[in-house]
Amino acid sequence: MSETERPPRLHIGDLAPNITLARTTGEKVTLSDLLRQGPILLVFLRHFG
Amino acid sequence: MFCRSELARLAKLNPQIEAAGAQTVVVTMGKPAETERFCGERAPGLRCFCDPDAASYRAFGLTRGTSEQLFGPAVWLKGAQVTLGGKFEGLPIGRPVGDPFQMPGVFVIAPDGRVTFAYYSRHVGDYPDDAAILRAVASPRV
Repeated sequence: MSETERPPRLHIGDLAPNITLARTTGEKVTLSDLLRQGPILLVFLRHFG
Repeated sequence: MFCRSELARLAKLNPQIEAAGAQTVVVTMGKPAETERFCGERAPGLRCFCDPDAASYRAFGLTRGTSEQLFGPAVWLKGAQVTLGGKFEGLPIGRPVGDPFQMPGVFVIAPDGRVTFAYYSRHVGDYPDDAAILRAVASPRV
């Protein structure tokens, strides 16, 4: 993605993209997998250090 | 700084989030071992996940910040508030892991996959406050 491209924002009522994340063990998991356990507060942190 | 203070705040708030029936999922741009170390030290009770390529950030519409969002007066003011407020969880600042320009964000996703809360940070130190998070996870739409 170029510096000038801006991904579209999500709004209330939109279907969330079924992202794939890695556990700290390296195992992959999708958002839909996590949602089977209930609603999610999803927090994207900035870089850390 | 803000990532550390935010993680510590979420760890303190997490019992109330779970009591409302929601689960907290934290995403970082670290690799698995880096994320495990960072979260283990700062918030051992939280579930942390990794996305070193930040693809999930982009999928949720989170952009790279502008110079104003990264270094503007609001960022300095929030940094001072965090430090002077005695919230030293953000210190000391270490070597950055992940894209330093990436903006953060907070969402609530209902079990049917619908977004019920979306917060796009105005600057890198901007996150919803405790009351807003608890209202969001307690929403009848969740």
